[in-house]
Amino acid sequence: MIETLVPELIDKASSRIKRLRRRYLDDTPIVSIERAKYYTEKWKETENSDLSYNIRVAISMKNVFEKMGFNIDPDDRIAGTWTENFLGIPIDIERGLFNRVFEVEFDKKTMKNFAKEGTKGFMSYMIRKYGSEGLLKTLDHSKKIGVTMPELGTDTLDIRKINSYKIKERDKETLLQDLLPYWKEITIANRLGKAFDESKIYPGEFGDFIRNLPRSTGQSDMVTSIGSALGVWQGHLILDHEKPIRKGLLAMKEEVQELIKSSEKIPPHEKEFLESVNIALESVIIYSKRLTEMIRNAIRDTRDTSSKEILNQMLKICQRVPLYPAQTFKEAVQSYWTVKTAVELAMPFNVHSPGRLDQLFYPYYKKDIAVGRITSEEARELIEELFLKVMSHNMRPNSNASSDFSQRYEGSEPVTLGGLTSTGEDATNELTYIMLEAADRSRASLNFAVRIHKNSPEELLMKIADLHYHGVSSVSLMNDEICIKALLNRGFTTEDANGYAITGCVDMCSPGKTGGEGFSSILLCRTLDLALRNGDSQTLVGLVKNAGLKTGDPDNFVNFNEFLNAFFAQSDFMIKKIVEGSSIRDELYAKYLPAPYISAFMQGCLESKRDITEGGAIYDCEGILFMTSIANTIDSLYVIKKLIFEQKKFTFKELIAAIDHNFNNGYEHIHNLIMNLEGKWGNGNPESDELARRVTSHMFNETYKYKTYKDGFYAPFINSMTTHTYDGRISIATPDGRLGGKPFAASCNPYNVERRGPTGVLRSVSALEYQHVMGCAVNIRMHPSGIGKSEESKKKWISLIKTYFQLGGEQLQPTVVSTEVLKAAQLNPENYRNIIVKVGGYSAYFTDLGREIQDEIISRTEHSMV
Amino acid sequence: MSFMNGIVFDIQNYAIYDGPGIRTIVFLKGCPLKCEWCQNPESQQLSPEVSYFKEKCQLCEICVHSCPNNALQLINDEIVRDKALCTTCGICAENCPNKVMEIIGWKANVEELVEKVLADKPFYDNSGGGATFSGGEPTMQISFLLQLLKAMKKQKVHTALETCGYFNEELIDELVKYVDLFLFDIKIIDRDKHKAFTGVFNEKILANFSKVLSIVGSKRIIPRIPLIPGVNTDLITIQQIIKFLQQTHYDGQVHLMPYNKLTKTKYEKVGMGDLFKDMGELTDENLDIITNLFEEHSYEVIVNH
Repeated sequence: MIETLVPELIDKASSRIKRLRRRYLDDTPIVSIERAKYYTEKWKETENSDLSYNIRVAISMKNVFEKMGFNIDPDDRIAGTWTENFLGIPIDIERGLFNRVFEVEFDKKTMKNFAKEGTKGFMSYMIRKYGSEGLLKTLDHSKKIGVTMPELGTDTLDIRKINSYKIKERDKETLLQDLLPYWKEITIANRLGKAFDESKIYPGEFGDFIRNLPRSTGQSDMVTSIGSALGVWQGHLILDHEKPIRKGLLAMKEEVQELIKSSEKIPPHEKEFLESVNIALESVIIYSKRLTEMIRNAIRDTRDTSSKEILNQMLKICQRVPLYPAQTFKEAVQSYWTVKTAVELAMPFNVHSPGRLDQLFYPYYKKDIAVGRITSEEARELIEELFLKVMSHNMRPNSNASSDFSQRYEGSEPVTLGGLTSTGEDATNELTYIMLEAADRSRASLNFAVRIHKNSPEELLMKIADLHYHGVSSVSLMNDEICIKALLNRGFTTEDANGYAITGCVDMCSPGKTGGEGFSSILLCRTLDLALRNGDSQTLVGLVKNAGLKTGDPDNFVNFNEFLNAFFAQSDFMIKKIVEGSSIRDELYAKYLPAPYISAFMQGCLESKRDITEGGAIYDCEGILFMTSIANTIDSLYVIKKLIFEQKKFTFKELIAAIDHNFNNGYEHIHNLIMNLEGKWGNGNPESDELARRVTSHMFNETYKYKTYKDGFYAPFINSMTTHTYDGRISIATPDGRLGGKPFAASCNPYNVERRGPTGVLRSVSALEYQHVMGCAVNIRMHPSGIGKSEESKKKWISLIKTYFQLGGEQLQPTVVSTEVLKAAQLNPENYRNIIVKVGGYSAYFTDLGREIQDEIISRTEHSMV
Repeated sequence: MSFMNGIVFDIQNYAIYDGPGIRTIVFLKGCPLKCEWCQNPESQQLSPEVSYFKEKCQLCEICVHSCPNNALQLINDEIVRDKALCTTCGICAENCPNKVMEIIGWKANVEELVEKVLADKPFYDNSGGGATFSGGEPTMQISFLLQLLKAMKKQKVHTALETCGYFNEELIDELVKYVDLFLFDIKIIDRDKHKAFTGVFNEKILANFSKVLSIVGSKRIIPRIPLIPGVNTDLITIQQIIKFLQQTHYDGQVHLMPYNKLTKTKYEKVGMGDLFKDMGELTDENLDIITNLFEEHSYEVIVNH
């Protein structure tokens, strides 16, 4: 009944796809220790050898491929898993993003102890600093604001409600007693912590402060200053899948061997690199052969003739690819999946996005259709399965402390569709439509980034409008004109710029040519706070002195420009900290964790005889994410400009006092003045739009000044993922009137929207200079009536998007679902499992999300037409 | 040129169901009709007013103390407003910590409104859209409306007028010069029934429809029929409407506007809780029958949900 009434809830998938999806949604994933175990086994064995790190990485991983188990499911038509289970995760034990989570969070008692120790250490720091009276005062103050730091709690990995994982008892023992202790001091995550300490990267009191803050168990990011942070992993890339599909791995391996033979006189480290790639290719071949063997065994053990037939078909395909060139559509898909899975196992949780799948598979599809080898329905169903499988690799065992802010699938890993050919012609083809339809039917929580340009067919746009109307909120739109300009500005060739695809959440790259897009973030509101307090920083747990630069007491500034310059000085300083931090990180990777498996599938590495961690790929980039957030920062600056400098309603001293009292205790009038100030960013007010442009352009330009360790560029990305809720929770009030503990605006979204209808928002958003931005997320939440059932209303929706792009917008990701449906989903999640929403830059199942993000999404302005 | 002021109670951007393309609707306050099913009760009174959402009120009396005219009092667990003393300055709403008071309608001048509407011009130009003036009944503020319309035409913005049709016939000559599209409500043909449900007789409305149509033709006027269960969704009423349209020789589109179920809250907020009537819901079957009936008489039907 409800399905016919609510367009968002219609499920068109086949029963096989429904079954697969259901299990990906409902099964509890299993932590597999196979990768960690076999990798460590070989690593230990070579400990005292004189082998280089890249050779050791290559052969340790080879040991995994030789010994690991596989899973094959009756509903599989594409073969290959990255663990021995239907749904599970491997462990990146040598990088160690989650090692401490495993160490602590399998057991209530260790969780309690870990939290207790953290608190104890922090308390004694606070007492040292403020005395016990000062400590109590601070605690009391935070309590009054009504915010608390997210706690680790005692919900162990296996029983927690969001993003839980099981592990076999014996595996847990091995992991805790043998594997984790061995790596304790030598993971990249731990080395990075130590390196930061030694390099004295932290200014003022900040080092002391951060060292004494209770540690988290997750180690996927690290702060580089009070207003900036760093992803510990490099990742975010698209492998060159075209080559293995076209040439086959055997030919690729031969090519490397030829190269080794013909380059006898090269330096030893280059030779080692080539050898590591050779081993990597050999290992993926082993993986593929063992996969084939496993299918053969399954055939032997199966009695059911129809299952046998299905397995026989898979066997036929896997015997050919990826070892040999793919000849059919199904072979191309399998070749893609085998390579992706193997490389993703070599570097798990690394965000290897699929890239332009409609372009990659089209020659094979076209040929198959022409000779009648496949129907479009068959192709579509296979793609639906592929999408769900891509999704299933996209989960991370984050700490329970962030569980309120996370979900099972981080629906990043976008599939890029449409766009231009390398020579600038429209690239839309039949597969573009088939894949969009597959996005709808599979309801895989992935991003589908559709590239739009002035020659995009009307039919494509109408198809997208139709999907949006039906609540397929996984489909986002990219403005080719602006995106290509941004790529050209960062030194991409015209052909490569035309061929861009999206990785990470919204990050533009050249598929198979960009070695990685590491990410850092600048925390804008914290940076602004430094300018308010002459370089000190107020946190929920006290003042941190000299965390930024001494830019002067703002009450002595004679005009707004002087204040703005102080803010710029602080933000330049934060960007510098990011450069220092990311260089340290990248150097550690080059030294201790080269990536031969990625380098084997990345253009430029063989030519330059350098690993991707040494900048071997053609392009490289470090993304600086603009977090916590543009909207709150612009609005804060606007409030300061209007109410302090122009209208002189209060002084900086009064504003700071109001913030420190969370706008309570007699500071309500300041809050009222702030809230009643009209024309904040997001309402199409030229004055605040111009301010937004000026402020962001300054920061965009600053990124052009630096080069990364790998000789890549730094570039801004405007994307918050879920940090706007998490950082909001642990941040004090801001001058725009946002109260302490409340979420910041997400990504590139405005915060104080007064007007009805999305045009004002889009005009404001498009005011920024996106030709310097390598990716951004603009959420807009529409009620289905805002798109409408009729062709006429859908045309208006398309016209809205086109106009926004003409005005200079770069990206748009609508979430189309009504508030009523979201609220109903909170009450009865079981009936609403397929609803996908956009979080920061990625898609997620709404009912999978932590409550805080759910509430934040509901609170976003819903543009409805009723 | 001096610009005059009018009372506006809402502006909606990206309106996609009220005329061609993407539009901005400007809602002018005041209406000569009192339809029983009125969806915008806050639009009826011509002057600004302050709404009050009793259920959410914490009775903190901050508004009572902040009122410069002593127009508010706490009586029997309710804030009571003395309309004789209230100047709708809005200070109470500004100070209310729970946002249970809201000022409805503000004085807007033509220049400022035109600027707001023109901000979306790129969206109109790409979609063939423009500005729609609605209400209330926009002709209640005719001089203001005409200034707005003229300003729009000067900027080459397409204009639409949503009207209940109850206005002085003499206005028509001026209106047709500046209105590109009339969205003209036709509710009930029976004279007494019309009076019973809307408070006015309908001769003027029907005559105005015919006259406007005779000047601008079927392409620039669209009859819009609100479908109110139990009022005008019976076949007799619908047939009467069709007959009327045929008599006027109208041969364009017909817009059907199914009644949206309202909550009482909207009425209570403007102190009209007693006047709220639940009109029930229009069934899909009933809508289909009505749609078919119009189509059988060769009218193109657009259903605006």
